[in-house]
Amino acid sequence: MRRLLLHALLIIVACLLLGAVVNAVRFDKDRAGKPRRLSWVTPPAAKFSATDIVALEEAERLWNEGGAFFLDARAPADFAAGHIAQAHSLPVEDFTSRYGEVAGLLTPASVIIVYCDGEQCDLSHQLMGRLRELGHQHVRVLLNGWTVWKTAGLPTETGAKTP
Amino acid sequence: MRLLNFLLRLVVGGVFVFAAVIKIFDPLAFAADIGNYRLMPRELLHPVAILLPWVELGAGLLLVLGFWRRASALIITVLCVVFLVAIGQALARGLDIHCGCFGTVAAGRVGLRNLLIDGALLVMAGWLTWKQKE
Repeated sequence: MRRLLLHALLIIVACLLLGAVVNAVRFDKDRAGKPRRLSWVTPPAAKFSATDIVALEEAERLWNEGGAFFLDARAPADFAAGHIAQAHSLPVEDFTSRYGEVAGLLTPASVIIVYCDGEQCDLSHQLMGRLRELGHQHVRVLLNGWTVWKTAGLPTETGAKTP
Repeated sequence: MRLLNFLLRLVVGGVFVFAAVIKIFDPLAFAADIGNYRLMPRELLHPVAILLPWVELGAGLLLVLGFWRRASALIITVLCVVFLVAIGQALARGLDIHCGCFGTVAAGRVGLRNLLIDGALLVMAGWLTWKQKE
């Protein structure tokens, strides 16, 4: 029994060391060009300022007027299963490769509403950051967007493509 | 019995190696996934994302190879219990999050399916811990 626990402990310590060493020396990058090496210090959570958020009522008004461009930050499968009507899919994970699909429809002045799903979902915030880096100034997040939109009974669509 | 144990070792160890490799290739996504569970202080997310997959990898690999197999089965058993608690509380709280168990390979909302897979792994790993000879 003691030997069993000792062996388990040895395995764990060896693996932790290996993990720390690999993280210290790895230099590979992910598809978005970010290094896969992580900092030991977790960066603070992204904070929304009040102007980053669009209320459901305003999002609905903009949708009715056609005054905003809706972007879905979730994975393609989630988008296909159901999304805000007329929204376009732009998964953050594939931002670099898929931005071109919507780039022609947008100008720096376009009003853009990004959303994902779940109170804790961070994807729309990331997408907002990426879009702002490219000069889009009027990007806002509809918090917990898919759920609040659907719950409010507003128009939705299914399918991978936006007509 | 020896054949059964051998097969169980391949299955359980293989699943853990597979899950670990995916996480090692995308630690940032794994950090975000475990953050979504709201279980630990934010400061721990990166350290856990850097280190935990290597424990999964090491224990899984040793289990497949059959070296210190009981000890590695024990580690995997404990990990399965931890995952069970994490997934269970996420379901109980109704969190709309990805499992993060196999990176984005098994995307979709965490659900009963994840709980059952983890439970099955727990039973197999537990068996290998208690019934296997060193």
